[in-house]
Amino acid sequence: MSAVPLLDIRNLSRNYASGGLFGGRQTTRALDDLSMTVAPGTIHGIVGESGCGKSTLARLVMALDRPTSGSVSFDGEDLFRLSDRDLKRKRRDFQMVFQDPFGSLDPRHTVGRIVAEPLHVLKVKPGRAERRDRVAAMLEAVGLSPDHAARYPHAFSGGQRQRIAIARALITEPKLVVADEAVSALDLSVQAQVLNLLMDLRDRRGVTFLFITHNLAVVDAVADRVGVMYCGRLVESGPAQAVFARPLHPYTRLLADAEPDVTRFGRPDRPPVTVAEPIDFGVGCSFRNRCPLAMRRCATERPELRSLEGGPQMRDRQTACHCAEMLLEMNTPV
Amino acid sequence: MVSPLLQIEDLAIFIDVADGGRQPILTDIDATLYAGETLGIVGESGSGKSLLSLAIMGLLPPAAHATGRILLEGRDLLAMDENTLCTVRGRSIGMIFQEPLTALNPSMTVGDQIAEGLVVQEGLSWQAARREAITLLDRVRMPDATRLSRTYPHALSGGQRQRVGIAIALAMKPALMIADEPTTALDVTVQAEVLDILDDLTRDAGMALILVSHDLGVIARMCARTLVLYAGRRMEEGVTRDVLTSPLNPYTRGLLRAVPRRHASGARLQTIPGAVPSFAALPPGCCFSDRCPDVVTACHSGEPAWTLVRPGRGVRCIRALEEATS
Repeated sequence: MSAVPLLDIRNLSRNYASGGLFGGRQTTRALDDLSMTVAPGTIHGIVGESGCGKSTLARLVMALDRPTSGSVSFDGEDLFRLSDRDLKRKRRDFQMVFQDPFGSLDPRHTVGRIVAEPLHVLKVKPGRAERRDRVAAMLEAVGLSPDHAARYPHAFSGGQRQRIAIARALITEPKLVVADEAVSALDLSVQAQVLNLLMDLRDRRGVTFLFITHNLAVVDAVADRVGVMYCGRLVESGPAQAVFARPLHPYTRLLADAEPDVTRFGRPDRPPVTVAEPIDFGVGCSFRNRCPLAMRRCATERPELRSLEGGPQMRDRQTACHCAEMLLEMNTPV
Repeated sequence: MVSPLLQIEDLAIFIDVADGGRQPILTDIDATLYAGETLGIVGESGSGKSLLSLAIMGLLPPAAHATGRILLEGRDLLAMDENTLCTVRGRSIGMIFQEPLTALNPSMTVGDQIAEGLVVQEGLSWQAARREAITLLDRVRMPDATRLSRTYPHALSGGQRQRVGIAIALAMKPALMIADEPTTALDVTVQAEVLDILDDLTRDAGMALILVSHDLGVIARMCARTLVLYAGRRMEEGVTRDVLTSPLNPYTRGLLRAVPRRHASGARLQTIPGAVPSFAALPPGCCFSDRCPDVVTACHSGEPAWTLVRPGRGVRCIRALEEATS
């Protein structure tokens, strides 16, 4: 891993208050003391189920929301200590692609105007001709034609719209793009096209992606590193290939086993899945009510992210599980 | 000989368009399903797969017109009047929808929504129907069914709502269940659980299942047979394992190759160039010819006919037939 991370997230927590009108106020901890780094020029996947806090993480990294505690340092600067003006300037360096390519593009604006919009945050705003040239270059970079700038979003398919959204995110030449479920709404045949585009942008332009999704196979196909989230915490992180080949957390294992696969026919050879709702226990491990390995220690002592012994195979890998060694033995390929 | 539960013969569906014409959407659909069988219908958006399931339910929008026959236990659903259809629907066919929140009534307890059909169709008292609703919720493995039957949909999680949707469809013990992307909106662990429940129902109750999905992994997990649709046409049909391990149609091959999976570091995913065409802009000849990697001149000259290469294994592709005969 590179010595200087592009994104350095430290002890990030975000609480949301709910209720209060009738009955007591409740605090939900959407992010709980999460720390991670993202190296420049990589695709960093974040996987987890709905409600695990992955979209809250995206909002905080984009500085669209403020944390309850902790910091997000982007390119060496703490985002939440910047003045509004400096933050606005900084925004050219991090952009976002949203899930729904139908809802995220204004239907009354031409594609050219949509793609050019983020240029407003630039200190020196480009002139008309330059803007047109940059839009044309950007559309070509994402596999569309410069002529498309004059058309409206309704004329495009889902895959093409997502390319437009990516062109808009890239026009300020950002260092980081946060993609929140950016390919989930796309058909299989165009999903692969968009995933290839992200890998091309990483390799040719050095763009860094924080790629958030619930789809493990997609992360496995494109990500360099992956973080697995559960109940607002990171429970496992490491090189994507290694994490999915040999999970070090029972939750990662559960996700990998539950994912349907085109090479597995009929009912899988496992006991019926029963899903307990994730509960934030406050103490101990949040996953223990669903965990096949849970022991007494898991109820009293919160597992922190740690590395395992085991030589080069364990390099750069971390897990937040007391029983990871046991899991590793079970996983050992024969 | 056992007669089939569902037999679709030469079904075509047209939609009225603004200029007064009719746009064909589904063409030349044939399918047979016996009790206890599972059929997967695979297709991308715009393949007509949802319209097909609505047609079987008799829920086509007013602008759509169907020709051909859909025989359920020997009776043609397309020839029925609305009142007769109403009893068939629910009693013989149940449907599970993709989005469990919009499919439920937000102002009625989930128990009453399940009980409603039993009261209206079977003439049960509300009291008895509500008791039955709790049994049904138990059957779809709803935790704490008695208490949750008195709550409203907004208080439930996505997986719990989908279980309510299944319980409603199950209340009448339908012979045929149609599930249109039933797990697309759900997390993978919840998806696995819902699929297990559907699987149990087909095994234990002998219910036939039509599962519509764009997820080939879900189809592999659930369905004995698979039908691949593209632009409203049957491209390929057969035993699921055959279709997914030795596909005959280049479209099926393309779909399988596009399934995201780990390749050698930095390698790109294989794609199908272009996008699914709209029904008004299909290429001449074979509907997949403009995106097909194996296209030859003959593909543009006419629509390939649906051909059975062996009993139960059909394909629409002239190239596949060349291979099969050579």
